[in-house]
Amino acid sequence: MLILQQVKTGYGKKQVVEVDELSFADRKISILIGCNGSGKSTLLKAMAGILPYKGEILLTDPASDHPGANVKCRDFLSVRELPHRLRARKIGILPQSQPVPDMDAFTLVMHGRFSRLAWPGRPGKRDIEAVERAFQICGIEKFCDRNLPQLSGGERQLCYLAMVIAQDPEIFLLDEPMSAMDISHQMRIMEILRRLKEEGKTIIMTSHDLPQSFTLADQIALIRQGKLLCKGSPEELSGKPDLVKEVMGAAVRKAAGEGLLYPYVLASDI
Amino acid sequence: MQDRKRLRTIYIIGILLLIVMFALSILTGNRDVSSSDLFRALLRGSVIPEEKEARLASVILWQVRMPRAAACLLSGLGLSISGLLLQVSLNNSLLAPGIIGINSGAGFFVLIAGILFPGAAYIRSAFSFFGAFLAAMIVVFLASKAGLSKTTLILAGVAVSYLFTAGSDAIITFRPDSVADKVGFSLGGFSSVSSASLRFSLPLFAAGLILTAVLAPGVDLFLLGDESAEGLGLPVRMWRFLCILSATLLAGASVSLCGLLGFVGLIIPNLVRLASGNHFRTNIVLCLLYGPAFLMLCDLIARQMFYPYELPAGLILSVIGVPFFLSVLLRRKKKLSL
Repeated sequence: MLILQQVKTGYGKKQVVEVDELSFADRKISILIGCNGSGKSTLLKAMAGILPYKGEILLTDPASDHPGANVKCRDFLSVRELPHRLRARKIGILPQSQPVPDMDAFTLVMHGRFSRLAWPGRPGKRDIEAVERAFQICGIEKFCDRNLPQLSGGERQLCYLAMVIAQDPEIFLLDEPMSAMDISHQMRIMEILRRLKEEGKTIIMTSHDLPQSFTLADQIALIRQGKLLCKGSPEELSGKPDLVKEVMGAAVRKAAGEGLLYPYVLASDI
Repeated sequence: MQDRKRLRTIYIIGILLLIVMFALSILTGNRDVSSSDLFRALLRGSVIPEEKEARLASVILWQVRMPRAAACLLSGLGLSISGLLLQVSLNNSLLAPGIIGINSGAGFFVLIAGILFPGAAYIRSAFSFFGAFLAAMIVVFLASKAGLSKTTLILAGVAVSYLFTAGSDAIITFRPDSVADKVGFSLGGFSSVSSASLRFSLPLFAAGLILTAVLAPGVDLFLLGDESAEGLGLPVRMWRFLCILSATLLAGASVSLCGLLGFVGLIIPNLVRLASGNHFRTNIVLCLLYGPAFLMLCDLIARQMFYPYELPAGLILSVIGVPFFLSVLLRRKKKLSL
């Protein structure tokens, strides 16, 4: 479980997000929903430990098998106090925009193993297996030797996702992993996320696509202007259309009919 | 598979080139000494014998040609690895120690050391590193105040570089005795290398190389952007600072040997990256081979072209380096646009 307590974060002196109390369950897909500029990406970066924050962000650690880590309490690990590499083995993040370095996809995905490699960084058998598995999960084996600049945006996004899968963290933090992708790529990513959930991974992502999020999520947190407005399951939230409309400008309603990709539709007539 | 084969060819050519260049720079020089005499002097080691003929060969080998070849070797690898570190850690292939003021900062302090402590080679090396470090910190500080974009970094670097160069020119004008060979110093060359300055630059080279080796596994993550790199477990800010520190160690040590020899730090890393792609550990090894080989070639031409007069190696470096570099860039452009 990932627990946030009185978390305040932002860039430099500018505070963007303030969340009193929020927790994310293990082995579930949780989605932060908010408009552009609502602070959901900022919150995600703080949870990944790559942006400084005030307050506490804690990981429950059922195994407590890392006595070497500098932690105050055995059952809770503070994200801030985790050493870089240990943190990267527990939490992986896929930022919203990625550069396009001139390197092949295999090298990129292998970079996901950084936190598990000892000096001088030569990958072992387990690392190569993990990378091959990540390629297979994402269904991009055929891009293995291709250079990133030769791939399309959607294909590159899949490569970066494979990199985080190769990192093999317990918690995946994904910043709008499906924005700017065509629908077949979006479906592919949803499939991958469901598979990761089945394998026992915790997924926390941001989105502003309401029908898709309501379909995919186990839990949804609505964020408006840097504040947590409400949290609940898709069923609960579809029963509060006025609240959703207040945040996003449109509400969500269960759709009637069979064989729908998204059993929720956008509605404006609340 | 094909890539690996190509890479192996590049390695082998580099090794052969380095050996040939090293041998040539030992075998050629102002004084005619037969290669068999030199070879015997090499086998005897650095002890200078009594008899006249053998003595000449030994002195020339161990006090003139060997220090010069070693200085070529060290500053070639130092400047090219320094350039590689800057280019990768700041994610900008236009960077080089000569461009963002590291070399001119080091040069300025070498001249100051020459005035304050004439003849003290270890102070010269220490000042050189200090100047390089100071310049790098000023540039990075200025650029980060203005938002560390690619353009501001270069602009700040060029500005700082001009400032230190102006300072150096002023010192050379007012105190011509501060440096033995004025032109050689500002263009970069190896005519005034001594085994003392070589000895005292060695700790800097060693520190820079060890630090680079320690940092090597994480350096490629800079290419993925700071957020991804941090998320993958790299302490980005510390790593970047140490990369710049390592680059200044290597560049400072090089400047204390060969003066303001800038261009090699730009072209060798870029050529190496064109040849092998973005793989830092491979690129370090390639820089270790091709940087020195290229510099030795330039020094050889500088010594032999107008024999018995000698040009500064920096001049030759620009004359053959620039067209070669430009032709590679143009070829690459063509390949990409197809």
